[in-house]
Amino acid sequence: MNKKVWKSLSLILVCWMVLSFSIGCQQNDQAPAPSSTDNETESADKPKPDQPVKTFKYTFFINQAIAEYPPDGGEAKQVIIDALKEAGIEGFDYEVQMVGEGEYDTKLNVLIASGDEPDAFMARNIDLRRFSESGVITPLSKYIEQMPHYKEMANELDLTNMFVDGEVFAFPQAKMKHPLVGDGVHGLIIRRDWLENLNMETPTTLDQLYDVLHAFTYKDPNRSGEKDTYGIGGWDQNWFNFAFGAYGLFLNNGKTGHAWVERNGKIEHTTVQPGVKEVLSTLQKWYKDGIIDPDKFVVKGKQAKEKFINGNIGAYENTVWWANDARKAWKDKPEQKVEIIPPVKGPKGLAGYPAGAIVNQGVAIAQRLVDEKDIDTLLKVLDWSVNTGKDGGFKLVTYGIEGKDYTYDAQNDRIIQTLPEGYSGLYKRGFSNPVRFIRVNDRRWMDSPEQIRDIKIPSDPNNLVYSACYQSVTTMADYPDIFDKLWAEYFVKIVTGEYSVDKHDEYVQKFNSQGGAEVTKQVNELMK
Amino acid sequence: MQKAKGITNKFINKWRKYGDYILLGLPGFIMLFIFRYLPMGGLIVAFKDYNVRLGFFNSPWAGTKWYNMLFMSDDFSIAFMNTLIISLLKLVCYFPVPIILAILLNELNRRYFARTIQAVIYLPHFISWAILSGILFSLFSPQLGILKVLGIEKSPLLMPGTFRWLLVLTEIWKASGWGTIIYLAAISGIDPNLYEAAIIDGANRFKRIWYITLPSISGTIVVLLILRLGNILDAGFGQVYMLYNASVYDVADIIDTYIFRVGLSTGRFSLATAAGLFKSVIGLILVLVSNRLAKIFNPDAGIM
Repeated sequence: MNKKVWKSLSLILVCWMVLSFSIGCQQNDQAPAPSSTDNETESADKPKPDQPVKTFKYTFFINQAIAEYPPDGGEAKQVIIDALKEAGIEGFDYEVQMVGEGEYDTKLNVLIASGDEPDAFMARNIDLRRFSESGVITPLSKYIEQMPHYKEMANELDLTNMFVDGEVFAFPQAKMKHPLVGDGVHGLIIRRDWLENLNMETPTTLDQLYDVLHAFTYKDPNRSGEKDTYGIGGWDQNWFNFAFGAYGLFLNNGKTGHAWVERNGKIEHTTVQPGVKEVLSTLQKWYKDGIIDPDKFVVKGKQAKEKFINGNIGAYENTVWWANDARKAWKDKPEQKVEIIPPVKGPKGLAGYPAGAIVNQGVAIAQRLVDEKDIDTLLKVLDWSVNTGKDGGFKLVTYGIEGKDYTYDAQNDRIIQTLPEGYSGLYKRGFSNPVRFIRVNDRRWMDSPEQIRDIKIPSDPNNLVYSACYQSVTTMADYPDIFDKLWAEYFVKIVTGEYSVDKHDEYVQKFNSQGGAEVTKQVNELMK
Repeated sequence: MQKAKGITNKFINKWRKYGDYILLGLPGFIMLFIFRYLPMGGLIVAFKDYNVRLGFFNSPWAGTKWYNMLFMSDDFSIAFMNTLIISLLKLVCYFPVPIILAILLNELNRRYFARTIQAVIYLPHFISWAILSGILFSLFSPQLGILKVLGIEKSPLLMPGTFRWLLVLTEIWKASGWGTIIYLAAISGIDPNLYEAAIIDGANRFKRIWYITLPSISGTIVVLLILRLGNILDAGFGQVYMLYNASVYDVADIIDTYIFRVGLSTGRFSLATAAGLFKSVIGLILVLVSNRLAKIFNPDAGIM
C-alpha cells in the first residue's frame, strides 16, 4: 500500500474515533428533549391549574424475563395511558426493563452503582436495609395513606416484611380476599398416574412417602420395563422443605436468611435446630437407598423441571404453576397425571410447606425519583393498578381488554380468559406481568379443577409453616455466606453421605462463629 | 528563536516520518486509555466505604477495612488457594497442549485434512460455558449420560476429588484448539530452508521438530507463558460458576466466584474492588518476576 493510502486510512480512522467520542459525550450531556414523553430532569414542582401537566417517563425494573414483551410497551401502552387519563391521572409514561431472576441482583447492583437506578424496581426485603442506608430508595410508610386501594388490600404481615427499622421500604404484592389466595404456593408435586400404576395411595406421612418414592425408583412405575426412574428430584437450591416442615421447621428454597423458628421465647435460625439432624438423617437414608435423583444436587431449576416433565423423576417440590406447566406439556398424553399432595406428617404429626414464599420482595421506589420526578403521579398510578373496581386499572393491566382478552362473570366473581395464544399473546401486546406495577394476588381466573385443587393446598394456613421473622437486619448483609453458601455445602455433603450427620454440629459451630450468632442477636432485638 | 524553529522543524520531520503510524495507532491508544486506564480511578473504592448516593469521591474513607475483612475470612483464603491450585493445574496440563497440537497440525501433509481438523478443534471455543455446562450435566448424569452405561452412580461434578480435573479437562477440550492459532502463526514464520537443510543432513521428523520448530517458537512460548502467569489468579470464572455446586465449594470456590457472590450480588462494591485489586497486584508481581526469570535464562526472551 502506498503512503497516500496509509495516510487517508489513518485520517479516516482518527476522524471516526473523534466523531464517535464526541457524539457519545454529547449524548450524555444533552438535556432531555422537550418532548411530552421524555424524562424531565428539572425539579418536579406541582403544575398550576392553568399549566399543562408535565409528563414524566417512569422506569420499572422487574426480575422476570419475558421475551415477548415489546420494548416500546406495545399496543397496551397507549391503552393504559388513555385509561389513566380517563381516571384523572395525567403526566404518566413508562418503560419496563426486565432481567431474569438469575442475573437480576447483579444487574440491579450495577445500575445502582453507576447511578442509573430505575425509578421503581423489585427488591428483596433482605436487600432493603442496604438500599435504604445508602439512600437509594425512599421510605414509603407515609405514602401508603395516599393509596387507599392498596392500603385495603396489602397484607399486614407482608408489609411488616418490608420494614427497615419500622419503616416500609417496598410495596409488597396486594392480595385479593379470596379462598384461593393464601400465604403459600409451594408443595410436593407427585405423579398421580405412577401411584395408580403401582396401586398406591397418596402418602400422608414421611414413612409412606418413602415407600412411594422407593416404589417409584424400583418398581417400574412408568411400565417401561427398565430401571429408568428416580423417586424424587429437584434442583441444587431445593432443600426438601416438606421434610423440614414434617418436623415443624420452616425452611424455604435458596438463601436461608428468612428461616427462623421460635423456641422457648427466643428466635433461632432453622438450620441450627437439633431437629435438623433428624431431617438430614432421613434424607441421607433416602439418598443412600437410591430414591433421590443423583443429579438433583447439580442441576438448575429449568433442568430439574425438564427431568420431571420427561418422566425421569416421580416427585419434586415446587410451585403450583410448575405442576400446571407439566400438565400443559403433557396435553397430548392424558394418561400422565400430576398433582400437589397435602404436606406429609413427621413422627410427631407435624407437617407444612413454607409460607410467605412470594412476599419477600416488593416494589421499591428510588429516592432520585422523589427528587426529580413527581412521586404523587406514580403513587396514583400504582394505586390505580391495584384498584379492582370499575374505575380501577387492575383488570386492564392484568388481563388485557375486557371483551377481547377476557370476560368477567360478575355472578360467580370469575375471570374467563380468552387467550388463543396463552399469556404469550398478552405479553406480545404489552399487557400482564410486565405492567402489573404492583402485583395483586388474584386467582379468579383459575378454571381447571386440577389447578384449583392444587392451589387450595398451600392456600390453607393449616398446611403451612411460618417463619418467625421475615425481616432483615444489618448484619445479614455483612455475612451473606452463612445464608448462601454454608448451609448449601453442609446440606449437600451430609445428604449425599460425604459427611456424617454429626457434622451438623460443626455446621452449627461455624454458623455461629461466622456471624450467625450476631445476626440471631439482632433478629431477637428486632422482634422483641 | 532559532532554537525554537529547530525544534519545530525536528517535530515536523518526525511527524512526516512517523505521523502515519501514530495516526494509525491513535484509535487503539485512545480505546486502551478509556477502557483500561481511566477506570483505574475507580480503585479508590477499595479504600472507601462506597455509597452509591455519595459517589466515588464523597464516600467516607475506610482505610484497609475491606482488606482486613478479606484476609480474616476463611472463605477468601480457601478461594485464594483454590484459585492457585486450579490455575497451576491448568498451566501445567493445558499450556503444552496447544503447542503439541500446533506442531502436529503443522506436520500434516494434506492441507485439506489439516484445515478440517483445525476447524473441528476451533469449534468448542465458540460455545459458551452456559451451553457447555448443560451438555456436561447431561453427559455426566448417572441417569441420562454415559455414566449410566459405565454403572457410575454419582455425578463426578459432585465429587471434590474429581472436580478440579474436570475443570482442567474441559478447559483443554474447549480452549486448546483455539490456542493453536498463535503457535501456527509462529511456526509459519520459520524459514523453510532450515527444514530443507535438516532433511539433507538426514534429520528425521522428530529431530526437525526438536531442533528447528521448538527453538524457533520458543520466544512465542515464553511470552505466552509470562502472560499466562500474569493471569494466574484468573482461574476461569465462567467455567467454575457454571459447573460448580455446593458439594464442591471447598475445592472449587475461586476468587472470582467469591467476589461475585460476596461482592457483586450483594452490592458490596468496595469489597469486590479490594479483592479485584489484590488479584491484579499479585498478577503484576508474577508478570514482572517471570519476565525477569526469562531474561536471566535468555536475554532475548521476555516482553520488555
